[in-house]
Amino acid sequence: MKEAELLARWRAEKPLYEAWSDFISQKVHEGLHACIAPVSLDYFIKVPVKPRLKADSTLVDKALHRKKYANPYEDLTDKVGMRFVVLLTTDIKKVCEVIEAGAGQGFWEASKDRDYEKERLDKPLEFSYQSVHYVLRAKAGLIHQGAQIPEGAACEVQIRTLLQHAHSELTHDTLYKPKTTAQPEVKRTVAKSMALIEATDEFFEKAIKDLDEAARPGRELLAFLAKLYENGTKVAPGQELSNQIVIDTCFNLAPQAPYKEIGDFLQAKGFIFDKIKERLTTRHFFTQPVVLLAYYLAQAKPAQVKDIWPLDRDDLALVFSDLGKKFED
Amino acid sequence: MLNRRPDSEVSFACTMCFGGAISVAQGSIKTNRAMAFENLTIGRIIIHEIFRLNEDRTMVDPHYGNGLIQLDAEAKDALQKRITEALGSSSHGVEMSIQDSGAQSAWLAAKNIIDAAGNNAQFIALSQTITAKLAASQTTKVVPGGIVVVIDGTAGHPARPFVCAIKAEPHPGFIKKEENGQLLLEYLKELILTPEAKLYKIGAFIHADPAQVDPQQPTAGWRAFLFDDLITKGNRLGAAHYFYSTFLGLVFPSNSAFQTKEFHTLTKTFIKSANIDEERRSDLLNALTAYLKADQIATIQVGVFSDTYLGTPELKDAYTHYMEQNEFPVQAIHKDLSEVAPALKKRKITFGHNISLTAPPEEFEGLVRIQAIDGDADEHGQVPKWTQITIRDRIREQE
Repeated sequence: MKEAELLARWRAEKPLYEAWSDFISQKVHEGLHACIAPVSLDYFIKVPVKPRLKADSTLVDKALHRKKYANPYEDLTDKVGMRFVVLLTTDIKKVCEVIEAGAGQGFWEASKDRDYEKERLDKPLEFSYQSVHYVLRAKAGLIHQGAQIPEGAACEVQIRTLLQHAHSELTHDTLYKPKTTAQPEVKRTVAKSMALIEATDEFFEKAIKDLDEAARPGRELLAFLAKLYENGTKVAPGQELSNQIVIDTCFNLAPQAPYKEIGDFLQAKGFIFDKIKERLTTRHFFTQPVVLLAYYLAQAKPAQVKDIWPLDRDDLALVFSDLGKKFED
Repeated sequence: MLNRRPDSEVSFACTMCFGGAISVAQGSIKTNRAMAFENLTIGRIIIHEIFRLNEDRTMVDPHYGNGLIQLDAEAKDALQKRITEALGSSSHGVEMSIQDSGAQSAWLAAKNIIDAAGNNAQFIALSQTITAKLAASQTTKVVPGGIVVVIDGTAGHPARPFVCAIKAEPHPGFIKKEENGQLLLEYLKELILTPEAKLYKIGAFIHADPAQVDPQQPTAGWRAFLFDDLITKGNRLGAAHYFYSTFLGLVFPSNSAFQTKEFHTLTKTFIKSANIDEERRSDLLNALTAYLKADQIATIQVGVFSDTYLGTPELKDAYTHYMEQNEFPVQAIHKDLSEVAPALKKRKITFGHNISLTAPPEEFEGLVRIQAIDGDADEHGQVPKWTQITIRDRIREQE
């Protein structure tokens, strides 16, 4: 194939590939959004995903000079690509699931052309570049943004952890230059950092798991409050950080599961939900389910809750007032 | 009215633990009859202005407001807080008895406001009647003028109608302003209802039990509350008599002496059963006597005793909870020592083997020191707790 011919086709099809990568990006984001809720995508994805088309010269360089492809245009799988960077290896699995699900929905065929887990098993003594690479090939009949996506069009999707990403950023442009690869000391240093990254990743996973376990009782209390709140006010409970802060601070004052005292108290004082509803538009704190805990503690342990209250005291004062209690000392 | 119960034995199943993990207040919460101001909802608001007497002691006519005041949500919340801070549980507000229910009484005007329900013209007219009555009650030049705020609404659960009249004395202050990025202070001569509690008085009537009707006793089923910072200290009779008596037609409840004694008995029982060391127990019993005997206060209040003496939030909550469970009023009560006086004359500490120590409470604090000490170990190596008593005086007489 001649360079001119290859470039002409590529230039003509660029908008189609652009549409194709945009389609993938959109579908994967949608799928992730659902599977990680209530965590936000902004938090989950550590580096914004930007689909990138290969530059003309790089395309020619790779398709016709560096590699010996039978069908240079079709066989080049990274004409367009995108990268998902997440925090943990377990997060990588979530992205993989979403991509496999997209295959199930008939959008694309997904083939893993790199799998660091498999590579680790194959070469247990080596610490080198790690990432998951997928090649997604479009199924027939996809139309996106008015463009008819060519059947079989390829797009490369990389999924890495933040640590793997850092390692890759360090090595990508420098290490694979022939000169530097010749230096065993540099390679050794890079291998050592990769080994550290793998160990760090294990610690991260363990820390997250332990944190999650430690936060469970608080989370259960919050879930209980959120349900009561929704039943009582018919309004979706807020999920802001205030909830966590109050639960953290006041957990030892709260009754233990199944929190019968809180339920009984709110049942006896049904007016509390009316008071909350009146304040929804003027007082943020009353949109958060933890306000119910504030009412309970204002009644059951007023001096103690006053002593440790972590948020705006005006809100707690209003809670006391609703219960007919003096607040100021 | 509280039920009488034997002095010595109060039902206080004590499973208390005041250190570490607290389980005391986690039991069921009683809906206490004293929670009169929970679920407070402010309805209509109107203000009028009254003035100090002229130099020749003649009255200046009040300046009447003719329309209802509209407040936004935040301002209503603030007003609600002013009322619960003054009259709510743990406040200095006192429940009073209604004495004057005659044709000119403040109570009747409040009742008429409630009976006229949604009639704004009636509300305005009756609020003027109330204001005129307050103006006429101020018969000395010492009493300053002020803004009279009349509010109706509901309180309690289930919600009951209430009317309250606030006399707010204007006082000067500053507010912060910003102009062209520059911070400025603006002086305002007439602020009212700031959290500065001294500068307002409140009288409130709640129709707490509408089912209770008694032709002989028109105020049956009604409760009245008074807040006046002056009655919490010093000479209550001189201080605000014009407000609570002449204007509102209220008197201090006749059961004050009983309630004072009840306060003493319950608090003593609590201190005796609390899981604290003996030295601290002794200190608290001394404090109880001191609190009741202090000349400066005209009222007794669970929250005040708790805040002043009990120290830890855990002990405070346990005490408040205990008093509530025993249905002791959470508002202030009028102090009357006539029934409790004998109990305050002597403090007695009893040890094992019929050994006891008796002393006047006021001497206890200064001259007697009690400490728990480790005794000599017995044959099993167990170290008993002994008591070391230091009396800072010589023996005068022995029997």
